[in-house]
Amino acid sequence: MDDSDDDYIEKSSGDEQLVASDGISRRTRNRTTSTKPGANGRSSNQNIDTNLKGANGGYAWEDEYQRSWDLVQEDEGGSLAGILAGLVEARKKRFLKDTTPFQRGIIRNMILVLDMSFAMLEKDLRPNRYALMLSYAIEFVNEFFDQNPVSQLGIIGMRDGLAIPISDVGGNPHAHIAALQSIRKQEPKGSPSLQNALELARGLLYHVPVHCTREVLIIFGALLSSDPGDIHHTVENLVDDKVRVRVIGLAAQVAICKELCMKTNNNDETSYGVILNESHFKELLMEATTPLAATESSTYNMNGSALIQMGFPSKISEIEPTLCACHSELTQGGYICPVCSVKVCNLPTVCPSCNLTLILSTHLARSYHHLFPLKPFKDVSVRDLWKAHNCTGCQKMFPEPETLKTSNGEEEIITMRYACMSCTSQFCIDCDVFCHDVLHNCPGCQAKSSSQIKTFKRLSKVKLNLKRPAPSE
Amino acid sequence: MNAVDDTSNLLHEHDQLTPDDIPSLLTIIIETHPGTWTRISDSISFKSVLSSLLIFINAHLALHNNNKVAVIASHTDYAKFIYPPEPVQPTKGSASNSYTNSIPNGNNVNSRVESSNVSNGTNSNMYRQFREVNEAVMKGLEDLMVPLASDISIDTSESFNEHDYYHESKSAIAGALSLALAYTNTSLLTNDDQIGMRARFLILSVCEDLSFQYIPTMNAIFAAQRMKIPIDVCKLSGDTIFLQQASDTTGGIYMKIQHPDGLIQYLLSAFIIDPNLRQHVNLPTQKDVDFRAECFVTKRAVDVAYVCSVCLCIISIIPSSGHCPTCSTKFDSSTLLQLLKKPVVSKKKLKKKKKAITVTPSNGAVVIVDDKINNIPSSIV
Ligand SMILES: [Zn+2]
Ligand SMILES: [Zn+2]
Ligand SMILES: [Zn+2]
Ligand SMILES: [Zn+2]
Repeated sequence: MDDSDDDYIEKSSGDEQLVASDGISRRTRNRTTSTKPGANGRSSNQNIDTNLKGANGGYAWEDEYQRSWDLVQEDEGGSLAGILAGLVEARKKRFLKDTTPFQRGIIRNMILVLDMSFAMLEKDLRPNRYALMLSYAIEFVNEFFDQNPVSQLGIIGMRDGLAIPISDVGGNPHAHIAALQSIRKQEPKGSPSLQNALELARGLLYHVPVHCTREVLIIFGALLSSDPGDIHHTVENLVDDKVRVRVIGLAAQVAICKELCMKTNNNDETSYGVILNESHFKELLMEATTPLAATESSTYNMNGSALIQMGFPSKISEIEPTLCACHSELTQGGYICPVCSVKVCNLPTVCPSCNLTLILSTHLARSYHHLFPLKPFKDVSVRDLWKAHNCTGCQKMFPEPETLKTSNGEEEIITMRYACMSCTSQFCIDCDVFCHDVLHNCPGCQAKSSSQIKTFKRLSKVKLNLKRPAPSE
Repeated sequence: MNAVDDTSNLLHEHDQLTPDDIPSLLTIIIETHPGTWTRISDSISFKSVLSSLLIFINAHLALHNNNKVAVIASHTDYAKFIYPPEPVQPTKGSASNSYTNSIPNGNNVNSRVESSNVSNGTNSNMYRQFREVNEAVMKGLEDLMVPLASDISIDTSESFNEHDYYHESKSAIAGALSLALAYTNTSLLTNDDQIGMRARFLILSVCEDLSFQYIPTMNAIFAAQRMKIPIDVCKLSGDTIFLQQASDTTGGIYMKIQHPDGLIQYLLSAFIIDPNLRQHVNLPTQKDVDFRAECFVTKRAVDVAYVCSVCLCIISIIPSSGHCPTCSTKFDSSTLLQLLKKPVVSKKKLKKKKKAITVTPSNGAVVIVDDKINNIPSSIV
């Protein structure tokens, strides 16, 4: 949260008038893109680009350095309220995403490819590209398993013209993080080979069942790739295998990366991003934690969806330690497979004895909000103020509506209240952000009796759409 | 990790702040389902629970100057803040009148008059903070319970059948948790003390299941886990697997009260302990947790179920239509075949599997792999 505030300050112009108006216009701009079907939340991508461009239209580094205190200027009346309101509004922009429910590849298999070539020694990211990439990669692993608990991840590196495995494909975040920590000391060197890395990733994803996604995420710092063979052939193989590749470029756009992303993602351009600065790097990386929307041509809905048998084991406690079936180690307590009564020590896992996928229902629940996103709250107009005087979530009194001057001299009244469309409860900005970012529930819909509202509309029957492939040029 | 650095941490913290110095916000969610309370009235009365609860709240407030408390009632199908009570319209602000004064606001005026009446009354020499909380909680719960209690007594004599509503033993726990989380979030954000604040929940639960709110409840539990808020559950009657899971995933205590008469003892000996100190105390929590999930179709708790790969809904029976009951996508016929052929001996089943996959040869690579897998065991067998 603080991040976005800071970014905002850095990137906007010092002019007070522009600050206030910028906050709002960004909101509205986001909204117009979000109504487009098929934009699929990644509409924010284009917006990030525009946001990152400074007020002069150039990139952030072309702007003069902005000190945050220069920004705070009083308006004619000597009040700061208008600016503050603008800043608060700007915080909201992230959450005005498209919330059309899409079919998504929830059970993901992803190979993270890290560039470990000479190019990573560059110091344009601090302390250098390599160190920053590793610390972001660790955050990414944590977030990835937070958002996709039923998924698998593997990490490989590109170094000395080779693809070297860093961690095996698996569902345990600690193993990946330990592996990433252990390569911190290594010096990046040699040239990268995209082809070798892609072929290794393809091999690792080869056995993945049809109902799971196959994804590759490449962080690519170099501008070249030294390949042993024809990489176009590899790209075609990837397309055949329905592997979807995303690339985050650290330097500049590379033609082969673009081709790779376009071909493996049905001509969807958004899967290739070149970073503008550190925070944009992180944004691009974190975007990859959201499961991809299933396209009409992807494998996992060719024959309809799969039905996977899963077991929900119960936790037991033991006074005497016993051996677990998964590691043959003595552990106190664990989970008992409901089919064969074998003890495993960690979830989610596959029962080593009967091959049943064992999982906690809370793991599945973490993915529900991707599938059934909470609809965005809409601004409350001045007309509806009387309906409530305190926030439904946190019970705080609403502040007075602010009158704000936009850049073209018009006055606009911000109520700083946001209402749920289905239960008409009004919320303050903090609760709005919280509901959409963390809770994924509407407290109003949940807390009001069903006689007052149709609560369960959201859950009873949801049509999950398929994302249309982008029109090819 | 923590255990290793413990000594150095302690040394440092003694100079500045002990963990006890951080105030905490305790949110109490009490299930006020009238039907259930009347059913269990033999073993425990609502009144005695209420008095124990008030003592517990006062004890919590007494532990630290800046400790705060919130009470939320999770009623039959809605949830409501009991304390802090709904804020009363400020009359000072002149500007506010232009926007808000037109509100028909009879309720608030009434409640203000009443509360002032009460405060003039009996407990005038009580610690002010205690008195305010006690009065608000008493009044709020009374407002909830009294009209319904009278309803019950009338209805039981007239029409017994229409009492599913009271007998279903559900409460809007998802709503109560959502409210509590939103309230906690804002309280932590806007907390003006430099020290920071911790939060925890206590659910006084009597109801049996909350199956109709599966996804919202899970979302709320997950949010609590992200915010590192432990959910303690004090179960006075019945058993709820979702609350067991809630306290287990968030690191709270789940306790089924064996002797409801001694509720105050349970509250003051186990639930009062700050989560930070719990690692030093042997607490009576439930170690065996029932982690069964709920089938979306039959609404029963199941331990083995099918999960739709598109919408992750949990179903215990394969729908005859071959379509997912939630997202209505068609299931892959070959996987359905595999799952339906379950009771066949393994050798036969393997053959079937092979056949089923070769029916749909759209995915060349996978067929080869599956063939390999199928071949290995069949050669062994
Ligand atoms: Zn098993
Ligand atoms: Zn609020
Ligand atoms: Zn709502
Ligand atoms: Zn489904």
